[in-house]
Amino acid sequence: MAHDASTHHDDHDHKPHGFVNRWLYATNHKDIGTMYLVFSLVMFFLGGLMAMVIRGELMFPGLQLIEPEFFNQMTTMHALVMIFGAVMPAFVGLANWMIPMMVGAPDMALPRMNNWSFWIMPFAFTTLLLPLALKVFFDIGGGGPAGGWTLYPPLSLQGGDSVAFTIFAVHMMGISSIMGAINIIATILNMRAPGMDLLKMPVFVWSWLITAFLLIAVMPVLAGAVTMLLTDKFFGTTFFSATGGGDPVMFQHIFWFFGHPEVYIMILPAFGIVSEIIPTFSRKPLFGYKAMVYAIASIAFLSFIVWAHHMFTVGMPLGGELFFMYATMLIAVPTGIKVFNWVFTMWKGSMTFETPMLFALAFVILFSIGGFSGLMLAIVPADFQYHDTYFVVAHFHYVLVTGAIFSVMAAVYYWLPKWTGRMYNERLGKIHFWASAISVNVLFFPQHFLGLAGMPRRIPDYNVAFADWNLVSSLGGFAFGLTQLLFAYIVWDCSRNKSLAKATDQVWEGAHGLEWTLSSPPPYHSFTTPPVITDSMLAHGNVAH
Amino acid sequence: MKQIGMGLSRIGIATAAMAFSLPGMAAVDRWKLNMTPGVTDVSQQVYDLHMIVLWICVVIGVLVFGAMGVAMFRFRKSRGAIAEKWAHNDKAELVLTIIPVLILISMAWPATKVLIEMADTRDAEMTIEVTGYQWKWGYRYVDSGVSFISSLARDSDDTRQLGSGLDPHSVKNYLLDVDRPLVIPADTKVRFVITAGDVIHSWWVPALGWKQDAIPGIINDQWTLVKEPGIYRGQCAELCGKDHGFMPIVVEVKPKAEFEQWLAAQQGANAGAEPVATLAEPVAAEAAPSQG
Amino acid sequence: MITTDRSELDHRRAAAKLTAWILAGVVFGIYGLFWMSGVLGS
Repeated sequence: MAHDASTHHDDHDHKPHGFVNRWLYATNHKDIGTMYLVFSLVMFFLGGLMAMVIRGELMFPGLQLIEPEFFNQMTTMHALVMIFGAVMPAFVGLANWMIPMMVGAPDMALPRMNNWSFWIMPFAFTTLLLPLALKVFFDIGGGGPAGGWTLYPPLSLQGGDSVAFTIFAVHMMGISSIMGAINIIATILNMRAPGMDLLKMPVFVWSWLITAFLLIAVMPVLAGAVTMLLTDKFFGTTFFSATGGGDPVMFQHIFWFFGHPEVYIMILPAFGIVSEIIPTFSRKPLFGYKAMVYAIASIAFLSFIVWAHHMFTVGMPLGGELFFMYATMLIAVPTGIKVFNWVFTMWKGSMTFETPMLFALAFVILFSIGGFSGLMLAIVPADFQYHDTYFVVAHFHYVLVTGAIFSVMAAVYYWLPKWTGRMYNERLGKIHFWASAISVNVLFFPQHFLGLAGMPRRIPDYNVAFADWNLVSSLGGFAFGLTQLLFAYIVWDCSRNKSLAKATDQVWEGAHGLEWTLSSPPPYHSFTTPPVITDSMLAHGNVAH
Repeated sequence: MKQIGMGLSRIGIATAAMAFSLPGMAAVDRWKLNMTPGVTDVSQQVYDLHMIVLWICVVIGVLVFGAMGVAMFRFRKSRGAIAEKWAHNDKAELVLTIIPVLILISMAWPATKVLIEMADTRDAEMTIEVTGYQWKWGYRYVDSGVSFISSLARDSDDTRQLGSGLDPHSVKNYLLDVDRPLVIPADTKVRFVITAGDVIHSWWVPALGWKQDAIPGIINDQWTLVKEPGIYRGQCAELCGKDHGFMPIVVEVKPKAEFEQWLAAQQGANAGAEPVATLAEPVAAEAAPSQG
Repeated sequence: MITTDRSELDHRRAAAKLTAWILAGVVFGIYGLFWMSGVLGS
């Protein structure tokens, strides 16, 4: 990155010079967005490496590579790194890059706080990863947390000093997310160009507005829960210890009150992205714009009253189980509306299938499969069988990998020509898509079978009856992992290779929206004078009729 | 690398075992796809519910993905498709909101019925206390005072050590076998009260149709009624530390009369060891019961 | 023209700052509320 500032020749938009000035003191939404995205990609590979270790151990019955304790550290860290390090920063990076451009603002509302939001992240992850790294590289200490990313006490409290590191890191990530969310809300509510009414905003902006509210509502809850954990561990309180009059299940209630909205934090921006891409490549306005916005809002609302569906087996009263089952099933209605509307958008369009569209279409299908298994998991009596098995693992990887991560890849391919001013290598993009789409299904689909056949999750070894599908799944996993190196290459190539074709301002024939009215790459400060907005500029056309 | 190689040779062994079906080796149910219907009324109902919801999802999936497929085929630019301009249709949106609601109600109805039945632990004929420990299960027959600890069988435990060089395929019921199984009578409504001594565990035997978390300081209850005698296996289903994968559950269902005999024998043997029976390693009162 | 744009933008920025402070208050409120629930609940 050091020579990045010097190789750019467009001095006219007052880019700061020098690495420290440009990146460490960054206040520009595009630079911060880029840093978020690069950070997220690094974490994606780090978390992916852990997944490779997990799949390597699970390839055959018996223990071949690692001790069970280390296996548990891998599953725990894989989840924390992927959720807080890869998926969330990727969406925040996209928000930073695109929201000011989409609403006609010069930058984010609070650029210096924006700098802080990002620069907390590397420190948070250093803290999080330090115990594990010390163990792996220098054999110091007991390694990272091994009690699962959900940190359930009393198990999580059995961890050594890594508990303090994890909790401190979670606090920092929380502060970063909260500041990011405040900035996004302030930008969307107050920095829109005149004429960009709320109900004219792109769906991606809407999805982030709602996501940011979810973040603000639940991140403090997580902070409270882990702080109680911290005092239980180090200061002798007994919030979650039955012997001191506390309640271990209370932690689970508080955690999932954060945790369920959290999973929608990781999928609502994806809905927004797909709602931008499908109309572009169908050359037809988004079907049911208002219904899409209301559906996102209803999903966000419902996310606050379904948390205990993660805890159907803790022994809740019958009434509680029924309430959470019905509420959870209800989420299928707005989610269904979204899927139907995407299909209606394609219907009677004029479709082409560039890489972003391929990822978006795969998202719709594979996310729906994750939604189906989610609906099955909502059925309490059946959940008594599914719970904590590989069926659940398959479910949440369908919604997170082929859902959230596929949408991020779709977004990167979609906006990369805008960011760099060059077209990425379309042929390699298509190869990346097909290799990913096939291997990811080889990786995760058999896990449905494993779970139904009775294999619990988070185990390092298993009965030989589970051997065959585990082998298939591992092979799929290695293929998927390798394929992502191609993604890194394509992105790097597009940002560096000057011989690639120049992108036009509009980039895609069917693209609408303010961001496509700017040059490619866009000026350093997006809209220093507010644009004059006409309905024909907007992706969904005139929504009034 | 060497270990991977060993794993590959294990595949070879397993395939050979399948092909020649070595005598004495229990046939392992490989490439399994679906949930077990189990051995109780409840587990059968759970299975039916699972299949109903699964098929509904499959049908919806075929319709939606089919529509997508048609759209992708018919309305592609390369076939000369010209995009239309419409962007909403209130009637279609209303219909596609109401239909899912009706489908959901049709799922919720039977689910509620099964759930209410599962929650009814009244009129149990006997009660067994199940306690999860790191990493074994404690069982206590509340009415007769018999209690013992059940942990991973020796051959599995030896084989599962890192780099043991032993082949999991050669161990019968690898990781699903214990030194002392839980024995319950057939044709009897048995109530389980489930708790834990250290961290949270979860007691799960798929053939019984449910799992229930074992939580320190909290007592959960569940019940079962198995008609057919037999041996049913399961595992701990809640992450509980390093040996979470190595605390299986084996339930042996005996005909009532045989169960009474067994219980009487235990009562005799247990009398001496009882004060420490719940925590210490149990004294082997009889030769490890035969499995399989 | 430039001056009117500037003041319009400054106006937007000031409003954004107020929004941010209100949201920060909400965050601390929720954090406190859950601490209370922990203290009272156990």
